[in-house]
Amino acid sequence: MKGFAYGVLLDSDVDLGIPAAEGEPDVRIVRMDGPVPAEMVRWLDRSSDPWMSAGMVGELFYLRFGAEASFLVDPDGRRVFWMAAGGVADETLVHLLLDHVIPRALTRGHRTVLHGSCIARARDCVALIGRAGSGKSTLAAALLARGHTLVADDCVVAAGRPDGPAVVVPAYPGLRLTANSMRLTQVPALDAVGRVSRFSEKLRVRPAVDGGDAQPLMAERYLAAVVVLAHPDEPAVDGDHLLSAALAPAAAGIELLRHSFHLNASHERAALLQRVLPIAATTPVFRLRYRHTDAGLDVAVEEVVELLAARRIAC
Amino acid sequence: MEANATVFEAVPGTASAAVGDEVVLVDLSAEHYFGLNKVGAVIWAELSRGVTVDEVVGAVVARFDVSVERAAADVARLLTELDRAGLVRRRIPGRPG
Repeated sequence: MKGFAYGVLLDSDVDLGIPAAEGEPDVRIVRMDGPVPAEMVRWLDRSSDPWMSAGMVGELFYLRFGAEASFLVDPDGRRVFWMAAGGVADETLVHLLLDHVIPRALTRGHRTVLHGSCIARARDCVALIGRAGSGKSTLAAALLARGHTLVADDCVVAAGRPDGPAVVVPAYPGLRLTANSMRLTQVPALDAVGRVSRFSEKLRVRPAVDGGDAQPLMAERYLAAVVVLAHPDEPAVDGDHLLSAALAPAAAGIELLRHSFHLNASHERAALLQRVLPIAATTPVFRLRYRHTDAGLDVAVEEVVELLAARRIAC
Repeated sequence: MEANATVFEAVPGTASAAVGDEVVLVDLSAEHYFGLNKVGAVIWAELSRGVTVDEVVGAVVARFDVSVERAAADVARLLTELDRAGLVRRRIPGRPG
């Protein structure tokens, strides 16, 4: 099955639920004949994801998600092989492929993939990045309810350009929300597709209406700003404002680096530095702390709406 | 002031890249990042040339029109932070890089 996501054509033997497309695929996803023997894996340094282990099998990258599934990614990121444990639900495998493995595979194609959501008004967009639980999807959904367009939820594919603003390509239609976030954000007419995975309380939903700004679904957007959402567990800093001033270049670059997907090999980080920092050089980055309440969300929405209006690039 | 002919060098496995007039350092063996403002970026550039601490101080004085004492304090403070972060070390003659 061929489909379009993250600006690339995927050819998968798993139904990923993405818009169908035709053409020569950029990435092929195929089931492995059998599991990778443990002795063949050279484990890498501990991933920041507590339930993902990363290693190398020869020149292939190996990702294992607990006892659920494991994956091999070739050096160019153009082939992904998967093996799921017996009884693993389809939605879990789709979630791991679509939201974890493929974004990492895309980094091998010299793409920057930020862990965040992205919303747009016309050709300009704002990426909302942060740790899991910082409220990215909720804020994106609230902005969607305010008439903005959802460009991505959880994985933002961005590219810096030497002669202009960075651009973002759309991920795939839909977002992942908890039932509470759906209630809080009141996105109109959400179609719940199903659970994201066996181990997540989030639902995969597709908005029945989406911005209506007449941009083609797969249109690139100019990255007008990045907002780093503070996690509720992070202590407030003295003078901590709802929305900070734009960060200095090095601090901005570090935030983008911290929230970038990669395949967890030390040589990836050097390449990541070269790809991510040009984005930090041309894109203002802000920090935002908001209370995860109805009122707090409303205020956060206003901050992002004003930011997007003030930072418009496209005329 | 007492002369300081010590030379510091980047620890192997430290990568750096410029962003604007600042620099980001990364320890490639761990997900550890360090940002340098424009003064730190100049200090890092001088260290990369393999010059002594005194020569680094001189470069900061020339570039930012500050006193030798102020420059020396800034350089010393940054070197301490970078050393503590495992990103630089004192160069030992004959030790492979």
